[in-house]
Amino acid sequence: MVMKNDTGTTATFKRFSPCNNTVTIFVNGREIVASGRDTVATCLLVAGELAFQYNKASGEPRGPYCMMGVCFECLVTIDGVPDLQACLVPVEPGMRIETQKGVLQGRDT
Amino acid sequence: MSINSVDVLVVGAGPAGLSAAIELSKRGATTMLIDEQAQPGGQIYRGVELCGESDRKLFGYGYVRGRKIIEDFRQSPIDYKTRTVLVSIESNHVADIFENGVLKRVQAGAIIIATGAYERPVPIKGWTLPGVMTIGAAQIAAKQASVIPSGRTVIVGNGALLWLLAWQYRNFGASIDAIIDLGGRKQISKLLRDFWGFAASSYFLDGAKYYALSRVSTRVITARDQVEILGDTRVEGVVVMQKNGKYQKFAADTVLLHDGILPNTNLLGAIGCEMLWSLSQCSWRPKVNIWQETSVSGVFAAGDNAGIDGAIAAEYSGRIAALDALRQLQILTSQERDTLAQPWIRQRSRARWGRNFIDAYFSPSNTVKTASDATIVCRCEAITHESVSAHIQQEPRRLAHLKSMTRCGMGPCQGRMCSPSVAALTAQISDVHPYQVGPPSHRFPVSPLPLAALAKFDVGLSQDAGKLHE
Ligand code: FES
Repeated sequence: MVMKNDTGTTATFKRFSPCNNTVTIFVNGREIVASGRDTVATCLLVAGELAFQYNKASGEPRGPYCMMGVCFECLVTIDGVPDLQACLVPVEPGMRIETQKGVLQGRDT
Repeated sequence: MSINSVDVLVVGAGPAGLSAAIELSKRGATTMLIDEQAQPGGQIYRGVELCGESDRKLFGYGYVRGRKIIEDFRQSPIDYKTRTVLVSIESNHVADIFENGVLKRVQAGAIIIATGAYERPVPIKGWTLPGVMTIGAAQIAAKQASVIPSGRTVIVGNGALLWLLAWQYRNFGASIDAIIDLGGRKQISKLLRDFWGFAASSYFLDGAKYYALSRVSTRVITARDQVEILGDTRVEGVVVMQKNGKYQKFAADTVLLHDGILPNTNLLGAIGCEMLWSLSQCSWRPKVNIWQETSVSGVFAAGDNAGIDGAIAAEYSGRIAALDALRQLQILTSQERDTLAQPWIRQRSRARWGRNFIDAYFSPSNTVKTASDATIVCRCEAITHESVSAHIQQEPRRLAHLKSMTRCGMGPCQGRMCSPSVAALTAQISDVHPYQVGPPSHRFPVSPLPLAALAKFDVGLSQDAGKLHE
């Protein structure tokens, strides 16, 4: 099944085998059925989210690049905690994930 | 802060770290293994425990092997801490680790660092667009949760992993619209010299199969000139420019990049381990002795962070490091260590067969050298090729100056996404060899702690400070 995101854009990622166990989570308030094996990053990709945050220096949209904790391009807000690496966090039932689009936080000095 | 005391602290749950921890605990050493990920296996065996059997096979034998190691690991008495990072190490092997929002201090008799490798950054114009990720990232998504691209997919780059992924994608039923091969011309004479080692290695049959199958079944374009990724707020395509002004365009929803892999040495650099430049792999690695011990006594580097030798060599190097750590802890005598290590030292060299050929065949393209001015070099701080080059020209080979003037390398990735490119550019502009540029400098903490963590750290410190005032 190919999903669409809030803005109606078709997802550019899918699964090649069905999920055996699923968990329900919320992405920008939208209810999503994720795989129990998902990290926050993999489930967002399948849910049609490509841009996870805006770069704090340039304001450009960015999305996951390395998927292994190196690049810090996958920062999202999880259960109210901002700037967490989506690729390192496994999904948990009821988790509330917010992409950080439009949230241009002040840079630290 | 409570102090935990262990015989050995192992950092990283890939093949090297797991094998080291299994060996240590088997011989009675108290062992703590910390890892950033939620599940064991590192990147190579990512998700192998939860992956269904039939899916596992689609990744090839190199992946299935991880299952057995993790089974052994799960049965060993090891203090395994997931989602935990090493914050700093002081002399006398005192380590501060950050676990579940809490900072803890660990006193270890020896430390084995097995932080693996990461992919060489591939700076080409548009590589920061959402929808562009690395070949390794694509492989991780597939291993973790069976996730693959569903739209038009273009691969750009060079390296063995690229052809492995192309073969795996065939197995998953993921289509690849084009592979733009940046591999460049091969130096036949150099390749021939190393070919026999490769032909006799475990890589030969499988590797040749992946490479040949993917090459014939996919549209492969050899690009010797500039490649750029197109798109405004997300990737839309790839354009290959030719010297004669002609260009070829490919529409794409996903672009996957690769240019080989690099030892992940930030931690080792921050500890102060001496670094060596590898001519064949064009990357820095720690200087290690036959037991994988670095120039810092009692600190070992095992697996790919000591030089890219692959998962099988990593297992043996982890075990060999464990044996010498056990000798240092006086759990084994030198003689016992030597006897046990002998077959593994042989296996470790055997597993390295073929590596020279692979390194020479896929020598890095270092796309930064031909990237256009507007290409971003430092992703975190969004600093362009033009600005980095201008600073290098002004203050040749003063990387500290570049950092303070532009913030290049000061972002959360701690320079891992830019320092290889900055070094290659510096070498090119100043016309020196990359090793003359020197290894990047690293300081603790090598990965930024979330603000919440620092807040908790402060609480810990102020409690101590409070005691001092009493
Ligand atoms: S995608 Fe690179 S840190 Fe998460």
